[in-house]
Parts: sequence; structure tokens; C-alpha cells
Amino acid sequence: MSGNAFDSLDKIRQHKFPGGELIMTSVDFFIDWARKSSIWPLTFGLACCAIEMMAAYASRYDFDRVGVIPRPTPRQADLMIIAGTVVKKMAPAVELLYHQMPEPRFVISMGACSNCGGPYYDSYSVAKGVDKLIPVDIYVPGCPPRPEALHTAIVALQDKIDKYWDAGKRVLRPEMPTNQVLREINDAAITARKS
Amino acid sequence: MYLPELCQKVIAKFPDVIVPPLVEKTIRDPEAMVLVPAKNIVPVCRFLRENDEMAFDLPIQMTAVDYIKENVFELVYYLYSSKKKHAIILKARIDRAAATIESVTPIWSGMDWQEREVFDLMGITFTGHPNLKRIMMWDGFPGFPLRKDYVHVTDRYDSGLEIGTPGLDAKGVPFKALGATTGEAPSGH
Amino acid sequence: MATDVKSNVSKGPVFETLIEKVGENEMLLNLGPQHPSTHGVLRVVLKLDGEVITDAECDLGYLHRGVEKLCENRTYPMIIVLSDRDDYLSAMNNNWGFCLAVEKLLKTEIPVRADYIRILVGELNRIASHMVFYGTFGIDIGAFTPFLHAFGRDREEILDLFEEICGARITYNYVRVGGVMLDVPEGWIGRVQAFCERMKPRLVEYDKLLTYNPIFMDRTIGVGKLSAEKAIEIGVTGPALRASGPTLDLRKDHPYSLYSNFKFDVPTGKNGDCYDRYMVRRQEMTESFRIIEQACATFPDGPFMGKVGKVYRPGIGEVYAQHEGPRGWLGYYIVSDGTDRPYRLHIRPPSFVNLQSLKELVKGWKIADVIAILGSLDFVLGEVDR
Repeated sequence: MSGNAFDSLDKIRQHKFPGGELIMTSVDFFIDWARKSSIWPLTFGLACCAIEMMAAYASRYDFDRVGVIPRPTPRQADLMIIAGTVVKKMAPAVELLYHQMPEPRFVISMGACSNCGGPYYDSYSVAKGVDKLIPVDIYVPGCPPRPEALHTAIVALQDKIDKYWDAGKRVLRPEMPTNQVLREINDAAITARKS
Repeated sequence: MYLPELCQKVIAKFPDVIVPPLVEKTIRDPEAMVLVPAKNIVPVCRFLRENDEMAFDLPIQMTAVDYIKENVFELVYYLYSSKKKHAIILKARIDRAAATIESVTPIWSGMDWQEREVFDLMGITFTGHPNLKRIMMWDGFPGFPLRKDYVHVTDRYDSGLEIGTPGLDAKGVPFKALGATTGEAPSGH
Repeated sequence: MATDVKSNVSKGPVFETLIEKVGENEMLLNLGPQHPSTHGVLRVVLKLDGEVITDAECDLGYLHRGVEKLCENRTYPMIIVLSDRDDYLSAMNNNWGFCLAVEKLLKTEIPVRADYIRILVGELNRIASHMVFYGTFGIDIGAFTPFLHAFGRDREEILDLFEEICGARITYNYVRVGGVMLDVPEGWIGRVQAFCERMKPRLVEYDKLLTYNPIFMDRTIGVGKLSAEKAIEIGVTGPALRASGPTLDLRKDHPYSLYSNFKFDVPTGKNGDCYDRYMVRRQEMTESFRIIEQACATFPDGPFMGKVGKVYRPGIGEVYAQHEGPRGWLGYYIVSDGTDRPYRLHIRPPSFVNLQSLKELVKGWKIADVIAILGSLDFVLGEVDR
């Protein structure tokens, strides 16, 4: 582990010694740093968005470089990407998988269908949003969202995991905007449009 | 490829089979089409399958249409012959109150799931089907969604905008708001 | 033994069907709906004697979105959006299939250029869909590299081409009733031709990676045989049928659009096993490239959209239009009552019908072979459940 990985972080004290470097930080921060750098999502595709999720794991978008490596079992996963339409018949299975994941666990709702029902908002068999079953950390808009959008969501989630430490105590879902980074981007876009 | 001789052969064998009269300005497929009495569906299908001139060995699809004004379900079977390369459309009409017809799954095993789907979503019972259970919806789902008089029961996953929710207008409120049906746009882009 | 099974498994119609038949020394195994190898949310319940499968039953509906009901509530242009999401691996072909049906209702003439564009995007999407199959089938068998080559590199290039013409990567909404949404941009045909040239050595590479890989051949040759008679009786169409022998291809047998103008072969298999199903798709990629090259060489000028209003009301009637999609015959059955929405719309999804053959195919094989058989059928759950 080189010191470069910590260069931009202010929670770290680096001391240079003649033979190398010494890093001093809190265990809390260190665990969060490790956690956010290796978010392992569950291999869980539901519909169209799953294809974009697969594209995100494949060569061009290559999510391995941000530490995102899909795991086939919920027991080894930190993150569940709800990629596609959640229908009522599938809802109990989604809930079960969520509860099989170890804490702390995070959920990204990918695409219009899992955000709110999307094009199937008036269907008799579609759950109108996965947040009717499980808590969601990040919502990604799009139908389906591009892999870049999913990447932004991962970065936003990393940012959120970082903020845990800031709160001073460990709470699973602190009172803060769920998609901080997306909101900032949005605000910047609105400001740019106004000026 | 309209093949009236195919219809003639079926009618020669089964006199109560009729060719639906061609109504003026009505659009329909060019394939041969016959209207079969519901009680005769299995003998006619067996004939179509086993007769060498017919040889309808490939079931393309079957479905049902709910004509609620006439109070009938119309079952539509599309059959294809991989040897003769011709197709035929079978239709059978059954009463909505007694929605039962004999299954053709013993003739083409490919009709199995399609009949189950019609049973599940349209509520038509197929007698003689080997495994007539709901296929898309779960057991205990109230009603048959593809029927025109389907009433949706709101549950905890719903937002209240579902088609068939009591209180919503037949076409659904959101579309009225969009004004999708108002006026005809000029043709050409 | 049987009583133990009864007390342990969850309730469900599929289990009930099989539990009645569970004999001595047999067990039930649940595969899915969340399983990395089921290509979506398919649930299969296997009845096992040791490791050998004696019976299987599919449980569908985990992606049933009620599209047919929604279509009754949408105007025709709005349904194209829903048709995108049925078979999300070949959305162009879905758009096309639906538009064929509506055009049959409206009796619209399609400009030649629009037909050429449709053939181009349809065949490109067929290749993209087969590339997904190639990659995921490799993963099912245990080879990861084909996925990175086909899915991650080459398919992305096709998606780039699609993005240029319609702005979307997966759900295009590009083929419209009467033609296509927009004309192809400047130089697009040249880029398609360049892509075809780039792909030629890569297809050879594909063969080196997977087709003649001894492990792959061991895993697939002779596994999951489907006889031609059985396949036809079930209604299996597309590559899965042609792998068993019959040369049934709508593009050849009942040419629609302008397919009669193009020279191409219909690849078939002999044994109907997993390897043949793979091989047919692999060869179809080559044939699709042939069609694309011919279409690029003779690409005509002219309008890209016929004379269709933005709001249209077809006359009263009913039509069924079929189209050779990457997975088989994709049909749309539309009953029109003269309004701007269909009275009834039924989709004939090829995957749904093809998947019925699974029960026949897996009997007598081991669990690992089930994954190979599932992969070789190449179904899309969005289309199976609708």
C-alpha cells in the first residue's frame, strides 16, 4: 500500500521516515476507507438494466477499477443493485436477498422501473418502486441508465460511506441527502443554465 | 397467401365449421381463416395435425380476445405447416359466463404454456390440460387481468394509478391529462 | 423421503406439481429466481435422483409486467416504447415486429431507404444479441474471456453505431410505423462498413476462443438433444429449431421487407444439441454480416419515413404479423376497434415458446449440464414473461 492512495484525504497523518512512510489514522476511518474501495455488489439482474449493469462490469467500463466486483451470493455482498423492474411476484425474493446480505448493506435503485415503476407505472403486477420493499441509498435515473450513470452512483455511494465517519457515530442511514453527488451535479447544471 | 381450398377441405370434413364472412373495409390476415364451434375444436385440430394435406405441425400461437359487448371470448389459434409452408387461423367463440373449452395440448405440446397463460390472465378453463395452473401470476391473485371488466385490488406495492382501479376512468386518468386522443395531427412528417 | 421434502420446501404451484411425483431417493432442487446462470429471473425446480435430473418444471412470471394489458391503454406510438423492453437484447427487432403489424393494419407503404435502414439495424442488433449469447454462454460453460471480447468490446461498437442514429444504447424506439425515426447521420454507412471489416479477423478469434475449444466441445457436444419433430411440435423457432435440422427461416420462406433482395444462407445443425445451437448462432453472425455488407453497398437515397400521421387510427380488424427475430418468430397479434389504441394486443414471444422445450432437454442430464442447456436456449426473460 503506497501513501498515494491517501494523499487527498485529510483524515490521515503521514509521517515520513528515512526508510519509508508511516500513516496514522483512526480505525473507523480505515475501515470505511477499505469498505468504500471494495464495494462488492450482488450479481442480481432483473431486466433491461441488468444488461447495462453487465456492460458496466465488462471491458469498456470496467468497474473493477473502482473495486466493484460482482459476487454471486448475497452473503458476500455489500451492495445490491436493483437493475430492472421489480414485479410483485419477485418482491418477496428481493426482500429475502436483502436480508441475507450482511450489515452494512447498501442498495442502488437502477433505472426508472425500480425507482417508481417507470413505463409500467399503471401495471397490475409491477411494484411501483423498490423503495416500497427495502430502503434505497441511491436512485439512478434513466431507462436504462448508462454505465456512466451507474458509475456516478457508485461514486456517490462511496461518498456516502465516507460520511458515516463524519457523523461521529455509526448509524446505518444518517440524516443526509441520499444522493449527494448527483444533487451537486444537478445544482451545478442549474446554476450554469441560469448564468 | 389466401388459401380458400384449405377452408373448403376443412368444411367438407366438418360441416359445422364456417368461414367468417368478409365484412367490407375490415382488415384481416390473408391466411385461411375458419370459425370452429367450440365443442369441435379438438377433432378439427386433430384433423389439421394428422391429415397429410394439412400437416399443421407447428403451433405458432394461441390467444384469446375478450369481446365484452358480445359477451363472448374468442380464442384464436395460429397454426403453421413446416412441410407445406402454409398457415391457417382457427377461431372459436365461447360464452363469457361458461368460459370452458377443450385443451389442444395433447395434440401440440407447445400449446401447454400458451393455454396456461390464457387460463391465468383471461380466466378460460381448458379441460383435459395436463397441468392447468397459473403461470404468470401467483396463486391467489384476485381476478383475471386481461379481461375487459378486470377490477384491480390495490395492495401495498401499488401507487393507485393501476388500470382497472375502481374510481379511475376506463382509459386511466393520466392519459386523459396528456390529451393523447384529442385531435388528428396532419399526415406526413 | 418424500414426506421430508414436502415439509421443507416453500409453497408454490411448481413445487406442488413435482412433489406429487417425488419418489424414493429423489429430491427437489430449486434453481432461481436469483441465480447467476439463469439469464434473468427464471425459476426452475429440478427433480433429482442423485445428480441426474428426472424431471423439471419452470416457474415463470418473476418479470411479468402486464405489457398486454398496458398496450390496451396506450396509443400505437406509445407501444413501441414498451416493445423495446420486451426483448431488451434486440429492441430494434421488437420495434420492427410491432411496426410490421401496425403497418399491416394501416396498409402503409414503406420507403425503400427506410426498409434498408431497418434491415441494417435489425441485422446489427441480431449480431449484438448473438454476441451477448456468445459471451454469456461462455461464462455458463466456464470461459470468461469470450464475454470480455464479445460483450465488452465488440457489442459496445454496435451500440455506439446505434447511439449515433437514435441516442440510446439498449432501448432505441427507432423503428417507427411508416419508416424510421431519423435518417442515418452523415458517414454512418461508412462506419458500419469499417466495423464489418474490423469484425472479420475477430470472428476467427471467436472460433479460436470458444468454438474449437476442447473443454467447450466436451461440455456441449451431444448434451441436450432436441429432435426436429419434437421441436416443431413444441413450436420452437429460430436458431434453436434450425440447430435440429429444419431450415425454417421467415426471411427465406416468407420474405418480408426486402429480404428477398439479399443473398444469405440459413445455417442449420444436425444433432440439435447445445453445440449445434451455439454453432447456428455463431454462423448466423457471419450471415448477418453478409446481409449488412450487401445493404451498405446498395444503400439507396430517398425518404426515410412514409406518409403516416402522428396520430393514426387504423380501421376495424385484426392482423398478426411475424418477424424473424434473433430468437425466433416474433409475432404481434393486434385487434383494432378503430380507435388509436389496440383493442387487444398479444405478443408471440419466441423465447416463451422455446423455453417449453427445457423440460424435454434436461431429463437424464446432470445439474452442470442444465446450465449449459439453459444457456444454449438463449431466452430473454423480459420476453418470456412480458
